[in-house]
Amino acid sequence: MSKFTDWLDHRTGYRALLHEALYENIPGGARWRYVWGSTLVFAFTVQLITGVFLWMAYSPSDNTAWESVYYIQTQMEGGWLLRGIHHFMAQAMVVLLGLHLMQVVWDGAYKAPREVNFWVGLILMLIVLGLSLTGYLLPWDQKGYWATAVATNLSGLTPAVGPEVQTLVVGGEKYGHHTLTRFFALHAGILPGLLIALLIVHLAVFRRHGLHAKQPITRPDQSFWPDQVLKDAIACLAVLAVVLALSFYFKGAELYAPADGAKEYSAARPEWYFLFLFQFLKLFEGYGETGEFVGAIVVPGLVMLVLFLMPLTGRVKAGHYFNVAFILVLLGGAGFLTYEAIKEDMGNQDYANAVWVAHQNRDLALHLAEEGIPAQGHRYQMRNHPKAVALTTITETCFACHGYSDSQGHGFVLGDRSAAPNLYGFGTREWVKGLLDPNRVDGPDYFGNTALKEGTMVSYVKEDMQAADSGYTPEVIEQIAVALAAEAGHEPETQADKELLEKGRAILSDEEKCAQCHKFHDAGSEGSAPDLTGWGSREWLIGMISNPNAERFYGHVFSSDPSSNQQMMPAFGHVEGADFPTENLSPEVIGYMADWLRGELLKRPEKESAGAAQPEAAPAADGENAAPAEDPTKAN
Amino acid sequence: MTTSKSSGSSASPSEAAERDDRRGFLTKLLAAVFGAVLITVPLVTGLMTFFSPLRRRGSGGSKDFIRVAFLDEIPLDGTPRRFQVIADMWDKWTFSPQQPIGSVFLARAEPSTDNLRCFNTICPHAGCSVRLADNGDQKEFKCPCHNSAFHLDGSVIQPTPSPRGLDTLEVELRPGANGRQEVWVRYENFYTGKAEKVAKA
Repeated sequence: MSKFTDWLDHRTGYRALLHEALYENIPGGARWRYVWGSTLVFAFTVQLITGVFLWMAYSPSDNTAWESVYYIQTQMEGGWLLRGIHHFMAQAMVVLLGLHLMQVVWDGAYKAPREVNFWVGLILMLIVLGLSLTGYLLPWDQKGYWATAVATNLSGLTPAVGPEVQTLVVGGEKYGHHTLTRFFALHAGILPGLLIALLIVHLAVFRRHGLHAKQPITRPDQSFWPDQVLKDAIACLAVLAVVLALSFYFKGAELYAPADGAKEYSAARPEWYFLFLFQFLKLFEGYGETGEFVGAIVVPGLVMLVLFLMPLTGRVKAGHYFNVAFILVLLGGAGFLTYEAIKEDMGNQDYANAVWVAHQNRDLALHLAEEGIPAQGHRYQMRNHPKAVALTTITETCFACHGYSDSQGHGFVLGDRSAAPNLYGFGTREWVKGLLDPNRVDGPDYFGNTALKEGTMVSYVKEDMQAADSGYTPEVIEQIAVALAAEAGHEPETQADKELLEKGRAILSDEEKCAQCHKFHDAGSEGSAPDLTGWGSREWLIGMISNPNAERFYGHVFSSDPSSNQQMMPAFGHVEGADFPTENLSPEVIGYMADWLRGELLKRPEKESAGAAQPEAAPAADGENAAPAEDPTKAN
Repeated sequence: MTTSKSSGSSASPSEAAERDDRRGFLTKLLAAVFGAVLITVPLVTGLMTFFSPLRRRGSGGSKDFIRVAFLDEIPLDGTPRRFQVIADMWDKWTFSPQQPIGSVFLARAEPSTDNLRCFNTICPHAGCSVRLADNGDQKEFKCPCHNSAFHLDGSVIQPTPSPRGLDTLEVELRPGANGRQEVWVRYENFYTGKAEKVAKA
């Protein structure tokens, strides 16, 4: 063995190289504060390794980018973890960069003779930020698409040549194949290549001037190997542990619905480490193009200038103090702006609703992808598949009036802005009990913001039912709720509930009570209130959505006075000779809308593919994709 | 890292130095182990995805019979005719319904009989596409890549680089509409270059 190493050393001189690399002297011994540079090198190494493997499965084009990332995330073994590590290590890298920069400035390590290395470091930082920006687009999902659209539009603010710069960045007038190929070439080729080259320079120059030791030196010197290496390795392990924990917790990196520039998307935000810039730009609102230019280009440019000048300003003591103060204000300010941005979003119900809708679309996109993606790409499915049309109709049309939120405020919250009942839990006991609650029946979750606020049902619940001898005890309300939920298909499970069911049905059939106005199976008649037979069932919902003005539903409200427009809901189906608005959706789409309301859109009943637009995807014969792996991105 | 020995302080005989030495060794061991872990985690994750194709069944062909032609489309005189095999196709995420997934030669073993032969058009030598060639007085199958040649019954014409004759496929006649007989083929692909015919999974 030693003969071989002697031979190798004679030919290559590797021992001297290794010695040079490992036995760098560390004045005052190894310290934890010196680990940041090494953690960055480690983070970059991880990005290189995971990036190359992602590259092997990624396909940069408008109709394959999302699809290939979907495949990595849900079908390839370990693919979700690979994405997770790459995604979270990128974020860790930005944090570590901030720490490294702060430590270098704080310790004055940027001063002579290390000016050049500081400048190289700043360029490296810009490259890493460029990698973040370009990488964010590559999955080609709604989130990355819209965030990058904003960033590239800002590049159009460049003086004189703005539009040209933007066209070059995007690879044409609009986003498409070449946006992806260009971003991918930058992300996987040019930027990492530059980074490696400059990293070599950075390390070589670092070695030339040696470590900038913390003063005063009180302990004996040590060498880089093994004392500092161990500290570095422990710090890197901590970074890796955090990244792995995040990857497992989030089951990889998120993947939203495929990019679609024509689709409403109100949840656009940059990645969190660019949020401060996003928030900073808001300060320039109201100053038009000039304001935007100053905020997006001039100020960040000046900040970079101050950073680049630090080695010169740091020559005098006051200059160094200024630099330290500047870096603290800069990072503190960025932190504050990030906090402000998050705080604003937390208080912004429209944003929360948009994120919720984005998640609904994401879940549907992943659900549909399991059936196979057509060659046109998955965006085609998300525009044309009847399930997607159903979801889009619900989120863009139904939610204009109806809210869909639980008592904790999760879901699509309209609150007092609603113009129609809250659809969350429609068909359940809780929904019925809320309707029969005198405090809620005329509230925003039920008839409060509709013309029916003055209707018979509201006065019945608030007055007749509250009379001492009405007989509507809480037990009776429970019985009605159980019986109605059973109509919707929520069959009672316990024996006690089954007893309630019979009693509830008796009340619903009682022509002195509910059946006075409502039809319920053989009791009562249509024409004065919605039919409660099969209330909330798929069939009932399809009828109601198709034509709420049918006699079985709210025809009585509509026909009593057409000009008052009391019944605002359009008919979503085709209604022959209708003198009210109709949307003419197909029965299939309306069926899926009913499924969504019943929480069953993403379930896979046997009948599902019957009549679906896609040919029955039966890849069982072929094995591949037949049983999609459990989808880790589904977990919220 | 055997080179690290050279910098040790083992020259000193005192106990303190020995303790230092032991501590130094532990430091080196831990640093090396941790360093290995750091690189292993991303590497193994990446290798898992890289090797994932080995753990899935491929899509060499459908295991079911596929309708390829009508019997009356096959020449009566025994001349082979090429037909496309149409089936649903998966390529990773892409699902393409009813696409050509390959092609076969169909021929009557003897003129005017219903006794059919079916060959995969892929050459068993190196996987090029075999064509029907008219060799003056007689027809034969010829591969354009390395000149493998086959008789109409699929057997090799020597000398040939092909290790075996054309790959036969199971074929079935099924009654179709209007009294037309349908030809159904169990389409499979096989590994090339081997004397033995081994179906791709």
